[in-house]
Amino acid sequence: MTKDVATTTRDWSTTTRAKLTGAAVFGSDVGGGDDLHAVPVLHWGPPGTLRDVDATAALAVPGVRAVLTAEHFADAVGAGTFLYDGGQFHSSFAPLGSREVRFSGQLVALVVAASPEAARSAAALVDIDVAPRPSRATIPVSTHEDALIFERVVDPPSGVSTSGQSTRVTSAYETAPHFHHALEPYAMRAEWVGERLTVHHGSQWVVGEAHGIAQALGVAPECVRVVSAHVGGAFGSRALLMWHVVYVAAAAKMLGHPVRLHVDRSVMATLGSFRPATRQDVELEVGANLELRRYRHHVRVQTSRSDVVPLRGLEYASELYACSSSELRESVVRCDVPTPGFMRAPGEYPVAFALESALDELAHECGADPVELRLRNLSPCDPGRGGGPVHLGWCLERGAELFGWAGRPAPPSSMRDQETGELLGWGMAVAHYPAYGGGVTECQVSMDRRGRVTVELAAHDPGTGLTAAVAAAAARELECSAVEVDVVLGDSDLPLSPMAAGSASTRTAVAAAVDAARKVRRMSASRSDGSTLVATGRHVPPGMTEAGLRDAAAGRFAQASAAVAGEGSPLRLSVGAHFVEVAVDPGRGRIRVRRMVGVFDVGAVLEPRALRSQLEGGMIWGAGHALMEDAALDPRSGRFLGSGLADYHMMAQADVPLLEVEVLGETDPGRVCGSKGAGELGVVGSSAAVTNAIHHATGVRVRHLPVRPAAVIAAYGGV
Amino acid sequence: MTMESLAYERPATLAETLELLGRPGYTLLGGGTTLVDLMRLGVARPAGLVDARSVPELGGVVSSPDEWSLGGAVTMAEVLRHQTVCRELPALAESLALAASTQIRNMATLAGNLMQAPRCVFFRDVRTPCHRRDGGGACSALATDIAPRALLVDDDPCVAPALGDLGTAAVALDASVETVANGGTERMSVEELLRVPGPIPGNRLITRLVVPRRSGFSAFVKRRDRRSFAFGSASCAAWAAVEDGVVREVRVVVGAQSTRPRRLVAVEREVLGRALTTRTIESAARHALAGQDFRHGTDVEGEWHTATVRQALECVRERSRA
Repeated sequence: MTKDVATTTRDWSTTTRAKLTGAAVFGSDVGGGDDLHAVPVLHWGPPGTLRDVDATAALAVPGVRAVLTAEHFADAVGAGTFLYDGGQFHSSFAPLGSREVRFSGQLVALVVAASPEAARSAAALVDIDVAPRPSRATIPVSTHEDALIFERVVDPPSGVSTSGQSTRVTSAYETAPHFHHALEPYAMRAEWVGERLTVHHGSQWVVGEAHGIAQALGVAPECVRVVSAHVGGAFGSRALLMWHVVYVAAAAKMLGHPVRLHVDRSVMATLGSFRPATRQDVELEVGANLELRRYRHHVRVQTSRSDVVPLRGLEYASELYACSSSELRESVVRCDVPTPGFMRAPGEYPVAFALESALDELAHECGADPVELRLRNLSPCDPGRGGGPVHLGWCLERGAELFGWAGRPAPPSSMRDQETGELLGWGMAVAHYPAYGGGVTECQVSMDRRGRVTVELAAHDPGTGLTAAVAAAAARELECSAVEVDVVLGDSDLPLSPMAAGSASTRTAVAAAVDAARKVRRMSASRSDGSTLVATGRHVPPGMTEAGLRDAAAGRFAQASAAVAGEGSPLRLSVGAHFVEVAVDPGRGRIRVRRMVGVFDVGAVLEPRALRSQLEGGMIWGAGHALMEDAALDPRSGRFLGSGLADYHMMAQADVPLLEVEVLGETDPGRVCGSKGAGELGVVGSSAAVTNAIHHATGVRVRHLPVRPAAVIAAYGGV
Repeated sequence: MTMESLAYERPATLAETLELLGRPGYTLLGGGTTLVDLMRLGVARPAGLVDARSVPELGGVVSSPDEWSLGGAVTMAEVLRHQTVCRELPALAESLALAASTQIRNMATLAGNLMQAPRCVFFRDVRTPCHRRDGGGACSALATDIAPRALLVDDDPCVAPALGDLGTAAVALDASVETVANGGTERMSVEELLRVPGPIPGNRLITRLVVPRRSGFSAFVKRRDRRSFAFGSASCAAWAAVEDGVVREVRVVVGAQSTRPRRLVAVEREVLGRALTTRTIESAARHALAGQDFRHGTDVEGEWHTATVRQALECVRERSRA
């Protein structure tokens, strides 16, 4: 798999050294021995109205300083603005803002004590009385409660014949809710020094969080600093401001003492967010020459009673293939659950599972090769169709070649492993992710007289490799080694950076760093003394509007779109093709992924090792989405069952197949640094490639994730 | 962890251990891989922990011509390092090797494994009713179809599956435990020990797991959704004594799909006195549900269970021919 891991300690950057030696400081590492400790009290019954919170017993526990409820925060904490209303919060619903309980697992009180043990003991003694109301946590079959949030209908142009021979498939698909389960659980510390608040915690958006906290607490934005020097994984879970952060900050102010909070893994999904479930209907139709004539796709996505979180996956997926007639609809279904959030390729993952599965069904119905079917229908943005920046045709052909796809027999259940007797299946699917323009990014670069370079910006590296890419870019500009470059990130006091999201922040950070480094290089040519040279750089993505610039400066989300104005190309996409081999052993009741090949077009490569690691991680994760990940939601109580790592299964190392990744690496002139982004891409389509391979192995179509091996093998007909 | 005070004792002798276990709220601590977890979850709230891992009677792997005697405090990993035990008792070795993770196998003890608490999400969650934990009342797992539950059940309202793989293998190998209390030492079969879920009556302590050394072939198979660190969705251990190509004695036991390690007598009857052929196995496995209370299972789950039994017997057959 990875061949070039071996590096000597000499090659370690400051960041690498900090992480590998344990010196890196995470949110829960900050603070002194006399900090106060907060523990959240959650309501686990059905939603309803909070009648009473009896804290008598909790307050009697030695060391307990306060049991804080909605009443205590009424004056201290104001409204917060939901992301889609122009704010930074993951939900418009303030859990301690009223007596309303909207979902099981909601925060209803915060216990603060001198020790974590005292706080935890007391939290268990808080007596919560809720008058329950009827509730429903999962998406019903019936659509009468759906709300349509996106619709685009393209009728066939007149003159295009819709008659003649055609093949059509119509299928329904379901994807399960998921947990992010970043390795570092939510942990934080809030401290006030005078009128200034400092919050330490893992974040994907320190600038936005600082503004959001300031707004909710009614203080000026410059009074709040959010520090997130290292992030132990995020996957979207730390993209938006979570309410408990604000309450802990307010508690620290009320009690006149720094307060720390550690969130148990099992409750991360209800204090934060999760990937919502979907139900989808897809209809595809091709004519005699395999040309797509009709694409109908309806996505129904779970959301909360409080907020509408759109997936918006359809408009990009529909650009992948040329199709003369399409009907795209997305509906949200209000459920009694926490507000869902972003998890790796939030819109693209579920939509691609359904679309790429349906294409496989269609290819099977037509007796066509699944690769050929896609090649015949490449979008006009593909060079294979007359020029453009989306090299999907190349990915498909190169992937097929690397994988050895040409030897694939078309009928299902026609390949067996000669030694083990397992049924073998080969499946493929397409990956895509919009190449957003990203956000406004600023940066400061300094170089001392010994040539040591420091790059500082508010951006984040939750394991994506941004640090390495920025160091490499600065080193290139300043003609030094990357290990001589220190990259300092994750502090809202540092130069403005956007949320780490949308596969865009690495390249905008690189662009800003390059801009600043070039200025330093020019200054060094005329430097006469040994002073440290300092310059600032800035990247404003093309297409960023005036309003976007204002939003960015005010700590609001502002991202340039994936379209590039005036170039005649509607959208830019990073794309790829997954090829998967599964082995199904009906006798031993086992389905395993043996081999995955991923070939991707992500534009220019900024840091090859970080890129491959990111793509491999996505491919593995998507296979795990297919085979095991399931945030089981009890439909009666609305509770997530088994939300710890013991019960929520992700792939173990032993499940990871042989992986091969290849990247085109062709610069996209329409994107800064030539890069289209790769952070979110690998997980998209990977699940469908697995289930398509299961179909090829067994003839059994899986339309509901995760796969249940017992059901597949029973449908196959046993041993 | 909470603030409740907790005594931790590390007795050196069996007598001391028994004395400490007689104190109210004192619990035996083995590797702690389940108990400490349950304490964190608030499910177990012992007043004191009695760490008996230094007691000599609970340690060591010793053999006589007739049996292996494995100390109750011996870790899973220690047994797996014992090459002769693993060679003679493949079902036992497989049940240990396929369980948990390396880290847990390094800590967890044999006695603790046999007596391990249910893994049911409702048992482990004090916020939900649990018949087993509450000593009565409703079973939450039966009220939802998304929680793992046993398919083969008895009259007991608890439907938590028997996920401790060692117990399943031990019943197939006709193993016993030696237990001790102030009244003295007793021996009972593992099948009897695990027949009713919960602690051993009479506050008895398991000192040894005793496995007969009889000539025969054994296997343990387990189905799970990933290749490491996962409980089974179905498991089966089988042991057969084969003489002149004919099965003279056989034990077929299922675990993860049952509330307890459960012998499938109807399957055994079909195999007994016959040559272990594919056809015999096929027809015997069809009796996997015979005489069983399968009211909570679906057809697909029934097939899964049956196929697991077939798989274990096939494995024994391969070993008997090698």
